[in-house]
Amino acid sequence: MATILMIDDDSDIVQATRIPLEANGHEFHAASSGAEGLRQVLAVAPDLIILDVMMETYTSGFHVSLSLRNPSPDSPYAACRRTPILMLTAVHTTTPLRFAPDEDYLPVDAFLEKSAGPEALVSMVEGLLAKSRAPGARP
Amino acid sequence: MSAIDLNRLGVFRAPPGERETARAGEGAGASRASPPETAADQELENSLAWLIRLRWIAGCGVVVATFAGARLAGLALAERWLYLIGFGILAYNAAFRLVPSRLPGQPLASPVIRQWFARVQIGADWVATAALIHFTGGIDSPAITFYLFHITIASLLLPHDRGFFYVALAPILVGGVAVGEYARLLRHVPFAGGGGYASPAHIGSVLSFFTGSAYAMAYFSMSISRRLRRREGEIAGLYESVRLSTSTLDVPLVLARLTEAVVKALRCQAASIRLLDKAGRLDTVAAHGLSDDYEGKAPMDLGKALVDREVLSGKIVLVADVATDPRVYHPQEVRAEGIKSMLCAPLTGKSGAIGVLRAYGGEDHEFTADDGAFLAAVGAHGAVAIENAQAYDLLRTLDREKSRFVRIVTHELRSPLQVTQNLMAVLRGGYTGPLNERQVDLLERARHRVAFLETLVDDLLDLAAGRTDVLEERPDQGLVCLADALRRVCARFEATCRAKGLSLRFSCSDESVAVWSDEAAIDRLADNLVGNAVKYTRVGGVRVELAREGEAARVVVADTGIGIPAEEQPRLFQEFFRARNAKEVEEHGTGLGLAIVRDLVTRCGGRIAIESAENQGTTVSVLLPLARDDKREG
Repeated sequence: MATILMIDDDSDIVQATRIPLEANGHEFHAASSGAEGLRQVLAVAPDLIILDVMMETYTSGFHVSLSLRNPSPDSPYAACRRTPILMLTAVHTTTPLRFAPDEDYLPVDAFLEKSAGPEALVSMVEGLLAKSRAPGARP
Repeated sequence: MSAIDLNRLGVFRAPPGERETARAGEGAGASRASPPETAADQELENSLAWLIRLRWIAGCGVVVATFAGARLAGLALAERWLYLIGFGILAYNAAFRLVPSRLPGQPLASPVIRQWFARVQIGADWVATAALIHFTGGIDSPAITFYLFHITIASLLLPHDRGFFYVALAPILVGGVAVGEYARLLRHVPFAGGGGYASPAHIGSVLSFFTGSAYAMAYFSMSISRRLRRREGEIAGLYESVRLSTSTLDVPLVLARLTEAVVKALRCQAASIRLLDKAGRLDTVAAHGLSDDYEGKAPMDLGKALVDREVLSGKIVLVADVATDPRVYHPQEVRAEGIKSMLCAPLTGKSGAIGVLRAYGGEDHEFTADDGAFLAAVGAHGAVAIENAQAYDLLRTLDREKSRFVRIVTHELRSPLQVTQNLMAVLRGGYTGPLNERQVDLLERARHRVAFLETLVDDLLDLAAGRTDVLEERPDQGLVCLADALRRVCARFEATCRAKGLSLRFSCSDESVAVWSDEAAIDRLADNLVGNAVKYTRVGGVRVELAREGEAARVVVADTGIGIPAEEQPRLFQEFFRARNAKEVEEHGTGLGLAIVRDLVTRCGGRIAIESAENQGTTVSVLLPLARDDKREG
């Protein structure tokens, strides 16, 4: 069982994500904005974060991921710097090659299309959790 | 006479106080309501002014030479008659100078009247010269050679096809005097005692007349060739400015090239372009040869910019001396910049005057009438080039705006569809409890329809996206290896082909074939073509080929499918069109696939051809230009 925090302003997609993940035995928390998400990160200390790209602004998801992965030792999120981030996106359904995780520009671990469906979601979440729990997976 | 520069005799060189009279009197001027009809008219205008100035010298010359010959050298001359001729020349010259300005309605504005005015002046000169010849020895007169430069003047001023007619007039006039004297109709007036070769006075007179004529001829020839060379330089400059300013659609570059071309062609100190802004002020938007301070001055109100206001009304304005011209707003600032004279022409575009083109001289009285005509020509085509570049700029902005809109719509339309799919998938996956058979059936139907809607939205947005951003290179463009792209797409359809029992073969004769495009576009193109082939083939298989063909790549997707009925083939690329037999294979389809393919091919600069026979198969052939070497190296 893992604690998962989803940061997304669309309650429908939150619901579509919550049901299969809870069915798989995970503890699920949701935040409906970037700012609330950052507060919740400190409150629930999630094992995995699911993040939407476009919320208050078209790039607020990117800003959340940049804050979480801020390398400064004074960063309030230093404790969850290694928490895997799964970015949900509807941006590039037809253009699968447009962006990929990038340590500097887009510090997230994986992308998943919003339309991917529950099976793909569950398998990707389990994969990321397994990877982060593997000994020495992330320095 | 040889010390006078032909150009300097033009009214453009007149001191400021005299300019107004010169303009009115001679039909030429630095500022006028409408430019002359042709370059020849403009030349005539200038030449008439020049002729009047030259004639003052000629009249005075006759009077002074008569006085010197008779009183100082003691030659026997028909003194009274010669004075009469000299003063006569001065008198009719004064009339030519002053009368037209006193006439109502500016008759000289008409080129036809100007031509006649020139003929009358030349006629008067020839009669005066004939009289001079008669009173200086008739056929023996050393003044006969004067006719030579008169002929030059006439050929310069009057229509060129009449040149030989004027040449014929000279011997007729001289012959008339000679015959008149021979027939005793005219009294022969011997010149300087008529001593011929034995008289030093006669020899001296002939020599001085001959020398004078020779110098005058040389002076005319040199002046003409100098003017021609200058004109040649201006034509080359004009050509260059047209070439440079129309070879780009970048507004700042067009402006910079225009000012640079003006400075180069006029060999002047600087040039600038001032354009009217939305508030109706003049803003210096480009300059060549001006200091940053001067160039960066704040936009000027038209109320203060007297020179520019005049220019914007369609006039060419010359400020011969910025220090004394009252129209210059900040003469000290201008002088401090090292500017002593200015020439300004309107930039007149399709919608009227859009600004002012200025040339700045480091000397006072630096510019001529020809320079004014040149600057006006640069201004005329320059305005068109500026307007074209501005229009292109606007189009680009609109295009960017449209792209932004499409991106927003993309998100807004796709998001709810994807979420709906997701919610139904959660239901279908049994995460909320088991479903009965009828529930599953209904849910599957709903999912299919939403999936179709999703495809339709994707296709429509792809089509819209393909038709935006067409004016500039997209940021995600790069070298795309076709072999890799096609292999990826074929791999995507392998499972489907296996399931349908179809063969899917990819062959490539040149692995290095690459095009300049974006990966997603090529992926979509190939995906649509191979996807269609697989979808509409029931038996046999699909063959995908890649080959190099000269400077292009040929991609062939051939299938053994249902084909396209011949009568429906012309409508194949039409949006939403679906062939009759395609609907039998798949009930719902967007009919946008091939329209998208055609757009993508066009965007890459390629061509597409389709051959098909019903129930036999379809072969789609796409030719895409190869990436240029500079792109490959870059």
